[in-house]
Amino acid sequence: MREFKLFIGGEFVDAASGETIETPNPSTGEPAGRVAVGGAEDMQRAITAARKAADEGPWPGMSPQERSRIMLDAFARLSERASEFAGIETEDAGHTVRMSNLFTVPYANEFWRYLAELGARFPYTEKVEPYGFPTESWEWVEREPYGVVGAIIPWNLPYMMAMWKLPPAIVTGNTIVLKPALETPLSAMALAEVLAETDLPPGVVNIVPGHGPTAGEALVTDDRVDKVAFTGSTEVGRRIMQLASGNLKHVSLELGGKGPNILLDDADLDIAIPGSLWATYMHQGQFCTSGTRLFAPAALYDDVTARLVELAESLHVGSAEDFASDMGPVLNKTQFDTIDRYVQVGQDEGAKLLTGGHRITQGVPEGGFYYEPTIFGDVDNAMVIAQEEIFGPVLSVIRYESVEDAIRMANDTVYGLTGGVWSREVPRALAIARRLKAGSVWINDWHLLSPAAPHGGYKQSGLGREHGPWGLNQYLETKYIRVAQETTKDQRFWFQVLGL
Amino acid sequence: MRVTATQRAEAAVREVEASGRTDLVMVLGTGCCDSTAPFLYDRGYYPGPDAVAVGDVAGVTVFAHGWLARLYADGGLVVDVDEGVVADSFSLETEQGRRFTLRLPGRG
Repeated sequence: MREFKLFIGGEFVDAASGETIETPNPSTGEPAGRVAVGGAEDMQRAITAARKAADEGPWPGMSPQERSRIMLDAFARLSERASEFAGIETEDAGHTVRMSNLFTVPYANEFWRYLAELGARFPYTEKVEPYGFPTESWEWVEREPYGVVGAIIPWNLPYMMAMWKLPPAIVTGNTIVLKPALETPLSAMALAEVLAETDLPPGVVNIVPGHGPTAGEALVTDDRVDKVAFTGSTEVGRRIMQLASGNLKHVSLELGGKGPNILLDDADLDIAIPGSLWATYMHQGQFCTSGTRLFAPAALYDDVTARLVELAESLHVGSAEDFASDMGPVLNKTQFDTIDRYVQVGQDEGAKLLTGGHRITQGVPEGGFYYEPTIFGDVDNAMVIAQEEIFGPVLSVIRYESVEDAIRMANDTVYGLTGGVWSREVPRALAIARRLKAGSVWINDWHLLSPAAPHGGYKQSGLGREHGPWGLNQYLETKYIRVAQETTKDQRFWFQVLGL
Repeated sequence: MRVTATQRAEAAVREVEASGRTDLVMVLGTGCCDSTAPFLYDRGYYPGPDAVAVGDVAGVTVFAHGWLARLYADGGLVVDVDEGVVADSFSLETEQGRRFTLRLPGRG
């Protein structure tokens, strides 16, 4: 069993309380590893280390190219050990072997590489449009790191979320304290071990798993932290905004979603049907970007639902560690009960359960919680199952008569993280994509994002954008510098105003 | 929307109170990894201008955001608690190794 201590100031240390916790393997319920549990005191130590590295350490003053070089060295080491990280992600977070090896780990590494390279060529200085009133001056804008970043990430994609938070923060010269989720801390701690082998100065990256009300609160309330980046649930996002208001920290949030997926009548169903299941069932739907509401044209509804059901029933659900598994377990019993509650609610409110809706107990390890890929038909967009994020393998199919109705219903949600359109005619799909109130919209695709492109939410799905130059700017303060051109006192504008 | 609570959920709220947390507020939060779940916060957490009171647990008011309360109309939910779980959230009971959950009335 893997065991990890806290990573603070370049050292691996025990929690002040001595507390440790076993993190369960979602496939079996057996322990996947043991980590030290940081408390408020440990978090304060981590902030002290990060503050020292930001105020006195070499990192912020290094050239972006040198920071990038150190990060690319880490990328090479992480790439060499990608299969080990995939193994950890499978054991700790229940990513199927195929998902962690083919997708989540190598994809996450690519975010690290791209953002490390982007940081080296990013324009930290910007021109300002000449503006001669009331006097001429030389002027420009410089981008500077905030200082210390606090980041908190959820349990669903632990390694990828760490790789979305760390690179943009540190390549721009900040230091960071990362709190991974206690359910799935192992890949972040293994990442700390790799970073400790590099030239990264102590205190630039600190990783402290801990409980939200103690360690998490200590991180987001501390006045020595300048910015907080969070991915997780909407209500925790609100809580963090309030807790971070003491010293008016900059806050960026990536929160919930209820992605609308609009199937047009000219869609290539051979791609759109499996694509819609990929949108819903990847990682058993435990993904905020999931497309969980499928809008199907009334004329094709019967054909679409029949095909969806046939394909969903062909999926093999089993241990994440089994190469044959298309889908793995859900996180734990709490998660299972929540999914099951919504399946009950859906039936109570009149939706038609087309397939799934039960726990799987045959052919799977006993201690894990496995749920059948589930599809509801006859769903009204006003139903509970169409409005709340279930965070499980449950697809709601909603009939539409006109494309206008589909767009209206698609946008009738408090969320706005993702959306999608399937059509053979891209210009037609594009016109609809432009009307969806969502931060990321796919045409004939789902889930795939680029480290060069912005990702984030409209409405209650969040604040700010990650990745690309938009993402780097989230970790940079903006400074305007103005140099007077006049050389004599009587040329000065203010000389006349104040009569000096 | 009407929210009630199991006795063990009420006991868990009292235990958070006994740990020294004051001015408790419960709110049904939504989205991402917690799905829709109860969040117990302290120091008079302000759930937002749209929040409405939908019940109470051990004397602590439970709020829901307006859209969520309207979604359930007259329907009910029960606050329960899962014991002995690794649950990372800002909700205060989680540091005691438990997590508040929602159940349907009469469905255990």
